[in-house]
Amino acid sequence: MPHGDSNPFCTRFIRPGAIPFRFPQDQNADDLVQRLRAGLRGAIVGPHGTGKSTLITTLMPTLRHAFGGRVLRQQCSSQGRIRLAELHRMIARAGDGLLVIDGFEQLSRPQRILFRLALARSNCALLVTTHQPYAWLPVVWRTEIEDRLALGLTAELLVGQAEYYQRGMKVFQRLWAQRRPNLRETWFAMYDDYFTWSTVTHGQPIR
Amino acid sequence: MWFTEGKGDEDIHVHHFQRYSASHYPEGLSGQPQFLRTQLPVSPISYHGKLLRICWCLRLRLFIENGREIVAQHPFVLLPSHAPR
Repeated sequence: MPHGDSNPFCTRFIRPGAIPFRFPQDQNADDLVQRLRAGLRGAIVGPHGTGKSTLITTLMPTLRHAFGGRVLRQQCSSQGRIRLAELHRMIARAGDGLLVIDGFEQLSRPQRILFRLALARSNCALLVTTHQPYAWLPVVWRTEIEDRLALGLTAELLVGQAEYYQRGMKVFQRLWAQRRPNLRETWFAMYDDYFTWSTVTHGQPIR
Repeated sequence: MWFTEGKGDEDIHVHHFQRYSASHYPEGLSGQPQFLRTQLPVSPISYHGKLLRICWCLRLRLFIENGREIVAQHPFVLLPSHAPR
């Protein structure tokens, strides 16, 4: 929970895993892991900023338990494309464990094809997060954020911000309507609003 | 210690670390002030920008017998010596 004079929407408080993933009432991490174990391949699918990385982070302890501790996680980002050789090494290192790739769509199409071929020759299980589904990867979860959840999580971030709370919730509703379902992007915009508000309210920052 | 916060990656650095074991306080922590002395570096100085903040603080981590811990933090500002006070 944010505290002190920190911006409640700074990376520390909103990065994946800082807020645990909230499962719907009738589902939990075990259900998802069981589906993955049944097929040994799975994809968590959802648009930008809907909690895919947060879900992976929340799942990691359950995944480690289910796969005997042999779980390797790789982050793919648009800034630094991962080399295929590195993925091959990870498949080898995972052995009969689980390889988790966050941001699978960042791999190029040829990379994904070659990776799939390499994976077929191994005993390694695979879980990826991706924006769009792939025919060869069963969808084990689709991330979506309902308005009520988005509002609730934002209210939690604003606990202890009595002066800003009312304005913050009002601004959030406006920004969320423009950016739905990307909660991360909405919170980045909230970061800017909080900065503007605190500068006007509490004076010029230290420079 | 100082840490950064903002919209991007974060950084943290412990400038001075001191551990006190229970043997330092045979009669327990009685609420008396404790003293700490260290020479602060010339940089990084405190900074409060839109995308990034550099925050200095004194952080106290108290380990309790049952595995719990209490963390308290007191911020302070590090300025260059020629800066107006």
